[in-house]
Amino acid sequence: MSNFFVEVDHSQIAKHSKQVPGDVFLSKKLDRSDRIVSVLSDGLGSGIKANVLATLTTTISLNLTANSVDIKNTAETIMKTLPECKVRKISYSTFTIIDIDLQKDRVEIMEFDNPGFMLFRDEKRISLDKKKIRMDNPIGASQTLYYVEFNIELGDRLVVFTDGISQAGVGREDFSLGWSEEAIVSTVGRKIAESVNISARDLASFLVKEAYKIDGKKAKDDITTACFYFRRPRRTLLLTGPPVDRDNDYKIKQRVDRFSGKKIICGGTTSNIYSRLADEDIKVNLNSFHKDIPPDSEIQGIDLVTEGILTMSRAIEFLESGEPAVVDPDHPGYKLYDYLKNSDYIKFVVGTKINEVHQNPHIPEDLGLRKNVVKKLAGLLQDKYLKKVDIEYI
Amino acid sequence: MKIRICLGTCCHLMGGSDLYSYFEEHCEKNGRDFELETPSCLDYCNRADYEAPIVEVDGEIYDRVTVEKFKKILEQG
Repeated sequence: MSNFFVEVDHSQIAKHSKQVPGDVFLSKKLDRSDRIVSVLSDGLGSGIKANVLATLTTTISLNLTANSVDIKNTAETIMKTLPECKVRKISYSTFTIIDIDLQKDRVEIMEFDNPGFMLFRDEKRISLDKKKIRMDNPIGASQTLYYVEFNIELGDRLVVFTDGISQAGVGREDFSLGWSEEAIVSTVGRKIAESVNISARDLASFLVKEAYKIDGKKAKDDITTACFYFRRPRRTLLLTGPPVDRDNDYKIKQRVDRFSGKKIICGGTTSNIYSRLADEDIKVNLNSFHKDIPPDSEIQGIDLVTEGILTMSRAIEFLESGEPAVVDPDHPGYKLYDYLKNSDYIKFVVGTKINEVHQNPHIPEDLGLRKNVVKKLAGLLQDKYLKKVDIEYI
Repeated sequence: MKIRICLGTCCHLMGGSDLYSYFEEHCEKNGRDFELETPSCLDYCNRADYEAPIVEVDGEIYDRVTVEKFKKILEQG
């Protein structure tokens, strides 16, 4: 597993009076590999037509890069196929392709006609030597692309944007040439220095809002920023259920002791076992009492202690809905949902002893098997929230 | 009087939460000397001769406790 986790997010405001932006950002995590491919494209013009062009460019680039070994081949294919505006003799859309390989901790970037990306190490911008590549478009006109590859360092941030950012304010006396590169660098650098742990989403949104303000809150073009934040993965251990064999109870404490990251126990019997082995008291937190779910508890050294199957099932509902309608921060199911949503890697340790009481005909059938609930929860975290998940049965 | 209402999965589903709500509404304010605990599992539900929800009052275990039964236990105590 790589030492890095990449947070990828973007923010966007469409050109004033346009319903649909002509900039498109797509990102894809490739299955069974530590690769993330992202593409930002700005379609010529604005509105639906531009959006269709940019969507075509991003989708084709993403799929080609994902299936190809070489980002240059993708760029070449796209350049050969991108249509040209007959009047203006320029390509119908721009692109920046970012190919992140976390097995090698390496990034490759190919740029065509978008403003140059920026790499920040802490709050300092790092300059990289880009290689100029000439490629011909379908009518034989030579076009310039820029290629660069570099190694990632912990805490690096990549900021990629369209000309809605760099040309913000054009026409204003004090911004006659738009928002200069130096000014953008110092704005982003200042923001990172102020909030050292700022998320990719918040940084992208900050930059877009700044450009929007410069435009007098009427965007003169589509404004889009994508950010990539390379940080340490936030790890969480979730223990649930007693082991089949009582002789394996020690594994519950052992797994907790050996794990670095947040620790969660879901299950009354499991928390009793841990409490006994670690010689730590369980203190029930009655402030968290809700009619639909047993309260959570506190055990020294464990970040969250909840009941098992009902709480996990509530967390599943919250994860399925995306954002819970009524957010009650004291609800144990919400607390669990929040911990899981904010983790990048979740290790489940599942005791497979079947609680015979749960086979009681008065209890809903789907609650009977802890394994099924965990599988559903893990699947959701993996597929919908793109988390890395491991399950160990004990 | 020391009362422990089990709030494990099974007891909660079978009415343990109603017992806790009843206690909160009726017992905490009537001046009697109650000491309440709500363990996350009393581990009785696993035994064949007990059925949820479980309540322990001064060391004695009661099972299949309804609000009515709980009321009576508290009155007798």
